[in-house]
Amino acid sequence: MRLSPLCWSVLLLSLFGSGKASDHWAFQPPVRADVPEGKHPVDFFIDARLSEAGIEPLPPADAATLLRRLSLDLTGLPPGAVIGDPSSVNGKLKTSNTDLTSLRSVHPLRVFRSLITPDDWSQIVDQFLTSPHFAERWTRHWLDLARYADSDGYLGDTERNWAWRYRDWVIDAIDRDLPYDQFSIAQIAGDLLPESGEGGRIAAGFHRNALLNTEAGVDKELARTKQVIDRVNAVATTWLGLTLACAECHNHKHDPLKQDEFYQVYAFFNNLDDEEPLIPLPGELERYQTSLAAWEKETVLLEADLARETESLTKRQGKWEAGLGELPASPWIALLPHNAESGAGDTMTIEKDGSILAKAKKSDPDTVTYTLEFPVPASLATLGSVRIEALGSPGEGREAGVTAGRGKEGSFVLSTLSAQVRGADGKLRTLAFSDTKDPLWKVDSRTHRHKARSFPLKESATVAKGEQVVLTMRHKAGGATTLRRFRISAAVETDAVATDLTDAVLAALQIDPDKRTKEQHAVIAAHFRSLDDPWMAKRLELDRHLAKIPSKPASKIQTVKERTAERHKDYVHVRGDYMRRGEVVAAGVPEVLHPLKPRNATGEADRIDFARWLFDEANPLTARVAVNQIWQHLFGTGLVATPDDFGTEGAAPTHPELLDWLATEYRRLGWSRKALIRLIVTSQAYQRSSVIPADPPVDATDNTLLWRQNRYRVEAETVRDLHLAASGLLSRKVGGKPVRPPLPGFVTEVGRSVAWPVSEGEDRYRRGLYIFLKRTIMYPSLIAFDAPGTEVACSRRDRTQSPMQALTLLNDPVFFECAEALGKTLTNQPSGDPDALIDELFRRCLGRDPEPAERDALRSAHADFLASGDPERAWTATARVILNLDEFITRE
Amino acid sequence: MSPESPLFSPHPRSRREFFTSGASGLGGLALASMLRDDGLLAAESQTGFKAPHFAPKAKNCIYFFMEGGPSQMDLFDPKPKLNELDGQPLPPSVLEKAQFAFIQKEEARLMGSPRTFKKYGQCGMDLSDLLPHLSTCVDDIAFVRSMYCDQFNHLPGQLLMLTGSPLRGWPTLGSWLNYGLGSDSRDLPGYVVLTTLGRGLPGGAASWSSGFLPSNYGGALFRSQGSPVLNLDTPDRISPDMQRRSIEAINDLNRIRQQRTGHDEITARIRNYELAFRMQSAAPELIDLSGESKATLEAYGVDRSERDSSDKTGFQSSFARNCLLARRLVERGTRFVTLFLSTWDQHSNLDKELATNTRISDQPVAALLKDLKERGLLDETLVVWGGEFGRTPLGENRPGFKTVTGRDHHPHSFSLWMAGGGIQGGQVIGKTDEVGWGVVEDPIHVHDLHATILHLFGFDHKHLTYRFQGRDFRITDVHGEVVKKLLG
Repeated sequence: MRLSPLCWSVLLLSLFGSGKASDHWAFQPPVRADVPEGKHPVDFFIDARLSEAGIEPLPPADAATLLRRLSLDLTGLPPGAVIGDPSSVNGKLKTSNTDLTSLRSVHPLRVFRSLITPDDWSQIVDQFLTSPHFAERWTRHWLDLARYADSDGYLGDTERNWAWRYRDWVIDAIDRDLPYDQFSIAQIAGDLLPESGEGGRIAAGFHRNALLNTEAGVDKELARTKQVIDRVNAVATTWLGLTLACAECHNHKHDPLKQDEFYQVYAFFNNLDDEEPLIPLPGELERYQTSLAAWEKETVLLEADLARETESLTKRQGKWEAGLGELPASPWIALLPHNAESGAGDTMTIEKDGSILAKAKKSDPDTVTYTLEFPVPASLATLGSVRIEALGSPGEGREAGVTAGRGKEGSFVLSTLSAQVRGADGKLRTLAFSDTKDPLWKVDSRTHRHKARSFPLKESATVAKGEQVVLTMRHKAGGATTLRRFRISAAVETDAVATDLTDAVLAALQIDPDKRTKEQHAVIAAHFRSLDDPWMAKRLELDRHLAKIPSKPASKIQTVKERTAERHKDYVHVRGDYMRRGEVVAAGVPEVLHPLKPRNATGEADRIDFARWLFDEANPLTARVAVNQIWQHLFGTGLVATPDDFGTEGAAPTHPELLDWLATEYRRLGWSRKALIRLIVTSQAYQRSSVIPADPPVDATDNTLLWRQNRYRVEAETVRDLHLAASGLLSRKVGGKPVRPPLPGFVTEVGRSVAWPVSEGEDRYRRGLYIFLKRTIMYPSLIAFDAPGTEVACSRRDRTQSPMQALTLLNDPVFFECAEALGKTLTNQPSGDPDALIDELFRRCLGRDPEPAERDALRSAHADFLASGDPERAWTATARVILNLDEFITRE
Repeated sequence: MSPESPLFSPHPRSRREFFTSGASGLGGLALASMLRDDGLLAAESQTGFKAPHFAPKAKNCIYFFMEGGPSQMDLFDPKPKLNELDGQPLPPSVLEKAQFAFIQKEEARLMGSPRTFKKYGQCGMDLSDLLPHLSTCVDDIAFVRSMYCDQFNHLPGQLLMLTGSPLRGWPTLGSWLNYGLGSDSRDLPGYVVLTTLGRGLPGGAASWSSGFLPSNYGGALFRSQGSPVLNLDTPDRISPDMQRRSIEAINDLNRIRQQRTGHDEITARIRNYELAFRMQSAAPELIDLSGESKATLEAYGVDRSERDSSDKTGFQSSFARNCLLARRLVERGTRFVTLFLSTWDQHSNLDKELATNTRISDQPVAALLKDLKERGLLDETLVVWGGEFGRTPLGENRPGFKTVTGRDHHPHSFSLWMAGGGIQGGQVIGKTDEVGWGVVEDPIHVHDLHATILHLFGFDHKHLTYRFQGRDFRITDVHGEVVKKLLG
């Protein structure tokens, strides 16, 4: 880090002048003014300012506008999609609407053609607040602050497969209206609170949303430091409305926060380690236990079956043994390899009995060659034949069997075999086998049992102790058809016979049955079982079933845990450079705010103390910041226009008394988010018209005093949701893994990690909230409409306009698909009267009837489209016009 | 700058073709300037562009971003002493403090360059034999051999070079300039990105992000063939007539709504639909090279085969095409064009891969410089060529490498060149030590480069700021000095 002259000047200035910061309004406790009985508190404060300024506010908006406004603000979906939602609770509205559901779209506005009474409104508000879509909508707002994404960012941009568990926790918490203090404390310190259980650990995933740089060769401590700074900033922006980052490098003239104080807060977050524990999804464990029990039941049945078959074997074994007749002694001498290699890089394990187990790599090259080396055994004076035993074995108990080959049903294809002898002088002599056909040995099935084949040499070769036999086995039919487990032995003569009896079985059989040991009996019985087809059939049936054992719940969460051993030290980073250690600091809070009360008698504070400090009665910021965020989502702008800066440089509140009253009220309401929203949306101020009259009472663009409602474009995700809802394609599924709508290759290929497997079926039509947020490939239509970049906490989105937005709505395949779906629906209407259909289109998409001029304009466009001769295409184009209107993506 | 600015007008003829719709036109992607002119910007987002602080030299910028870190001692900065010391360790004084991404420092040895250097031009500048075409342009170019930064890794290094911060989330230089100046193009975005990529960019779309600036200042990724912009093509089932009629109907209905509600944002949306419609013809026209002469196509090397016969990889034709498109874009008023060529990250196989990269890029880059000059565009078009850092004079002996055939990342010194747009050509600035480890004369940090570029565009880098999270941000953070020697 270089020290520029500017830095120095700031540093010098900061030694003076910050004394007045503690007088700053936002650092004083909120003062609750009295509200007269019978007056809505929100209106009381707003009307007071208006009448002071002599401004007459606008009347309420018409019913259709109001309903759409409320629906978009509370659920991000059009009213028809929520009120018609079977999961909604309000019975009265549902029944009154059932007869209005032509075209599957509901227009509740018909109910309210006239005036909406406060009672009606109250009921509608409740209905929206209890919809699961409310939780989705307000979760998206929260995720902006949490800088939520589904990947690490930076070069590798590794996907975070379980990040969505945190998102779903937020949905659930907002749905059940978890009080804001508990909601917050869980996210800041849930991992430390045993009583908050798994939920707390998932909630602490808030901290895991920080970017992560895993590029090879990166300075890991620097990368970690940057993560901690981000965590401090995200917490400060979200709950305190302060940007502490300014103090990362040095003190600032106007800032109330000194650099060492930044590192005191930093200390709370300096020892978070990533953790990804197994935590089952709701119901996952139960589902596993149920299927495991079913599997176990079936296993026991199959085992009983097999046991019956085993009992009946004894007789058959006696017959078989009798039929074997005189057995010659085995001519085979075991060759014990001292080296085994695979040209394909397979792992070759030499077992105690001299057998070789090849464990294949995943890739399957065309040809796989094994090269084996054996010292010549003392008993082998000449080499006449080589025997290969393919060692399959049937299952035993609950262990499944092993096939000798890696091919389908255990098959293998040995293409060629060659042998050489390396003399004591190191020179190689090549030996010739009499059988040279290719493939040399092919076994298609039944390789669960022992198979052996002898390969005689053309003529026997003299070998001596100290020499090496080198065998080369080639599999040309592909890596997937190699021998898995096998053993090599040699015989002196060229006419040695190989049978399917292993040497151990043969040896046991040569002993008088009465004199055999228990083990010898077992060896023979096991061998016979593998030869017995009915028994093997039962055994394989059991093996197949064993393979189907349900997998244990593997769902994880991505969270953090507090490091206990080898903790990182807390010190000031001089000029923001972590390598330059300044004074040691203890975890603490800025002096300008109320004191922290650690639980620990020693005075040491942890994250739990910090989280509770945020909700201390004396905290002047948390409640103000929280109500300001909520206000912003209901009026488009906060009472403090800089939600991320309640500091001395930020905007002053437009209605300080209202802000304070709401802040105290939020606490009084038990931090109920739904109750606070209910309070605000039942005000007249919320319900005012947003139409700018011909003779506005003040400069029409200046709405600081809220003489009207604001009118603004909806957020990126809502743009998508509105299209999906209007077209009838919308999936209402709540929660779960993120989805990937289609994207052209040239968009995904600019990153290093480019996999974008497109979601199928219903998942193509999930709400924008559920789109996979891959930081290096942010979904373009979200970015076009100002979705945040997810790098840092975002407390206020931009609302830009661009031609790219027009191109997106006109041509993006997803949006066009919506137009087509809607066009098809219209085409299939029995009525077929264009005027009626156009009216229907307006109601469905904009929640209102068209004016005559609008009907005419669209009717004329439709007529021109129809000139193409294809009614469905014409209705698609007509629907596309409505879906592209400013009003369609605007909350009025 | 308003579209009528006297500073604009490189190509009256082609401009006429594009601006037929006259007063109703709006800017490209970076269109905030025009919205402000028309009073259409919502006051809440501080998108109002700033007027230049003083008379600018440059109007447009073409930035060749050579992703990965080109090897300076094999291209621009000859080091005879390094060749002499080939195989020796670094002097202990240097080695002690050295930090590497992958090199095992105790065993590391200096690695000379097999390239031959000769002097070119009136200025007598040394260039490697890998750059035969560029060597004919040296009198227009200022070579900087004394760049340095503090980032060892690709993405932080690239973000620093592109945005002034090693962290994600900051606006790129192109976004800052469009934020400051607006765009002169009515039919095309003000900030266009053309990519020639092997394995993709470490930062993906962050490499042209508007960061904390509003998203309309972000770069628009263009393809050089097919449909150049995402969602530019009308769906198959909508004929061109239907598309025109649709936009007419959309705007008719929007106008009715504007009258009912009195909100000016609707007027802006109407204009955006008009602009989108114009872009639908302007963007394909942009990439249609049929109007270019055979001589031009040959000079750039557009007609070359994509792959050299001896090579597995190669973008000979597509990169040449992107270079030509860069000229066509600035001709049409696009403020900032970034051309990415990936990758120059030669940890191994340096000699061969560097030759591949220069075979792809040397001819078209030189052709672009000459073309701009012939058309009188070079004076107002700043051309920058460089990566995020340089490469070590040491050979790379990363564990697992059987032989040493490449160089590691090197932030302590690297080279970069600039031409046009007010740059004093025909000079070499800065000096590295005899083995090319550190800078010994005129050190220039990335922040200084940014300060200088903003200066060329008429801005004091300390005063082109944007308020975000309670702080006024600027591309140079709290650093940056204008490099006077670079200025003409």
